Amino acid sequence: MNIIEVKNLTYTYPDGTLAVDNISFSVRENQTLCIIGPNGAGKTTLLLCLVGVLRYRGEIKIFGETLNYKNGGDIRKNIGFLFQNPDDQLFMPTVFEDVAFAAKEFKYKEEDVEKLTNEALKKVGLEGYKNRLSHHLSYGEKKKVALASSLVLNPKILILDEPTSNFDPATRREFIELIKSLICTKIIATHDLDMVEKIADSVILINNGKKLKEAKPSEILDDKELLTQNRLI
Amino acid sequence: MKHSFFDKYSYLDTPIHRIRPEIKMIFFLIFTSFVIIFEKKHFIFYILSFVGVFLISLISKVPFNFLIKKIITILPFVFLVAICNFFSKSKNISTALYTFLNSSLVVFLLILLVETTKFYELLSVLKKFRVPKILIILLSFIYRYFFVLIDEIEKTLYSIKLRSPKKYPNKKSLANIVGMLFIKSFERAERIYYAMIIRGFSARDEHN
Repeated sequence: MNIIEVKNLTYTYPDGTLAVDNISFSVRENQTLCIIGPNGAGKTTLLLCLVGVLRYRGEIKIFGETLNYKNGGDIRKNIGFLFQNPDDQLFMPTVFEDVAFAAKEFKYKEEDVEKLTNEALKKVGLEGYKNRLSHHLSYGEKKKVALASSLVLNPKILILDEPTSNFDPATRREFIELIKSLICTKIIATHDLDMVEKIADSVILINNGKKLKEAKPSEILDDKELLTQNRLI
Repeated sequence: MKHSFFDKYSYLDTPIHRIRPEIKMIFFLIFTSFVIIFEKKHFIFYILSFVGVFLISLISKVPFNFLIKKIITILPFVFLVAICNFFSKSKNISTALYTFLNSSLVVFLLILLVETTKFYELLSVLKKFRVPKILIILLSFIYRYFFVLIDEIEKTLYSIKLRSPKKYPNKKSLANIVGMLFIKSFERAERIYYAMIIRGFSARDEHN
């Protein structure tokens, strides 16, 4: 069953730059889709369109419902989003406040907020970090807290923007395992081909806002010429 | 980068730190109101108040020289207020002196309040006092992103130093730095706003 269907998605920045150019694809339940492409290919813009924060042209259906500005809030309740830079995502003073933010905004009861926050922190291995200050954490810890804040409402869809960038090798390995262990539909924008090989069910290659190829990971990763042309190796 | 955080003593464990934040906040508000309403007070009041400040700093283990350093950065503004008061009101030196003493006293206490209470506890007190949520979010953003902004400035200055023989950037570079910081802040603000929307934030709700 497809839980995300994207048809002819186009997004143009206010300065006229065409960032996403007529892209269509679909994602099945519990599938892991990796969107790969060089810097500036339009990956982040595409992800922001998928959660309805940018005013795109085309159609996005999530859980069979067309995403628009009226139902965006309700649909986003089931979507977790991890930003590339955790400083963009962690805006509250303490780890607890940050992770609990979505649960509070969606008006969960106080005891449920506490329970969900503790569970999310446990999932990323940061129990005991509740009262720590977000800006005192290391980059890896910040990224884990950011992931916990995306997981707090147990989303059915998880969208990750460059989840492994700027990690040391061990933390990167742990983070990949962590992502792999999460059971939900995942859309990951990255140019970490090693991670793609480990966790992707299917891959979309984009460049200059256009979808160039959609295939199984091995089919794209083995095409060295295609990867070279698109500055991925 | 690691900064000297302005509330670096707020995590100590002393009798002053253990006082409930609500009580500290109420005391601060009452004291400030008293200082503002009764403009001119007996000199003994100031001596006792400053001795009080010294004692609080002693018990709370917030070094007095740290307090002095902090107040020195604010002193020029306090001095400016006193000077403005001198020229705008009676042109009486004692009025300016009282303004200076009153402002310094309040600033001393404010620093002590911040240094003896965790920032998120202060925010939760404001929440209990029914301060509008949007204002609390704004305060938490200032606290959270102040250090990020300092990081950005530091990185930019390092980058200039590494490519320039001069110790400090010239006026033109400085103007460019300020411009770039503005753009970076704007872009970051936009990304943060997206992050908030994705997590269910609705600006309309926050005004209620």
